[in-house]
Amino acid sequence: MIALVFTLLVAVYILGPDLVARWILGFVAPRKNLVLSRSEEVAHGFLWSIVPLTIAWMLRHVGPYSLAPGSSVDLQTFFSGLYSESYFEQNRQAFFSSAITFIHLNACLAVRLYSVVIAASLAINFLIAKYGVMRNWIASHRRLSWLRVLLSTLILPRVSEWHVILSPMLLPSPDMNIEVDVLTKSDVLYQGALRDKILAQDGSLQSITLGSPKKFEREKFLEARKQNPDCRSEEYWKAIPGSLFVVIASDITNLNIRHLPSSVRRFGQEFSDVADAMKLLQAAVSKIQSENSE
Amino acid sequence: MNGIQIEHLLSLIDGNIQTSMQLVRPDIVDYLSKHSDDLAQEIAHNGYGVIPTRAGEVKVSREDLKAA
Repeated sequence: MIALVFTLLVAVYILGPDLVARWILGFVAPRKNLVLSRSEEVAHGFLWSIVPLTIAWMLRHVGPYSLAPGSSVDLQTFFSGLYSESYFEQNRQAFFSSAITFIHLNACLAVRLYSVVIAASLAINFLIAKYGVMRNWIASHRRLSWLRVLLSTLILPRVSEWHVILSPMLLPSPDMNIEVDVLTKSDVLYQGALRDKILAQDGSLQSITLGSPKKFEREKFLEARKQNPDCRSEEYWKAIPGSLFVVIASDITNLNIRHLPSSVRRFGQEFSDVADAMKLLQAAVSKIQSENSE
Repeated sequence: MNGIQIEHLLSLIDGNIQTSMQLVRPDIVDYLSKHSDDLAQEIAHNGYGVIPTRAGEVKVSREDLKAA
């Protein structure tokens, strides 16, 4: 019986908090993108149980479901009854009344423990989700560069480098086009917008999926260049029918990745000539709208 | 990758974004000057238009124009 109760306590206080924390972290950093060794996972689980459990213990007499003072005698009776059958037989009534105190203590600790775990996980999720914005803000305050090191060390989970490169997860804005040129082992060059990626358990890249894929017609380009050395390579990209094109990682020789804001707004903020052109366009749009409304 | 390594990689990506933006800036200005009528029609009817560049497409919406 004592082994059963001990197993239950391990599940509630050691395994449960880590599972809850991982589940909540999964909303911003999916599990498949995390790369943790077995020892790091154990350390993670240990930290997620010990620290909140210590806080829960310190708060056991505060707030709802708080523990009444002097409960330790009941707990001694309860565990003695679990440990020794003869003690249980002699103190059957005292054992069952002490069981209520034991349940009360666990409810008290579990409510506090899981509240701390959920609050801390949500706070970490928020910081990860806003990491790009915070990075930008810290970059504009040079004196706070130490804060960036502190945040990256404490907040960022261990993710695969491919997830960082091939997703806008930690960038200031999720509105980012990731365009990729892929050179395959068969010497064919493809281009397209990155739509998805598949990572292996160890974080290595398994495949990438391109949207609006194009293939570079190298032979035709080389032929044309013999006739006209000034011919433009842009004209030799041939669209591949279909919207999703999967390239297996083992077939890739190298990747050229371009991160480009998907909206013109950021260009207008950074370049005055783009902002001027946008103002002219805004005037043209307003004119068309007023003509249509008349 | 740990946090410090991720931070280093992010600073490389920042540089990549700046390079890509510099690369397509003339394409955007050129397209906005040459196709402004078509683009204005597209935005007036659909709410947004698309600017093709050598490094991919960039969207322009009514909200972007108001923010400019």
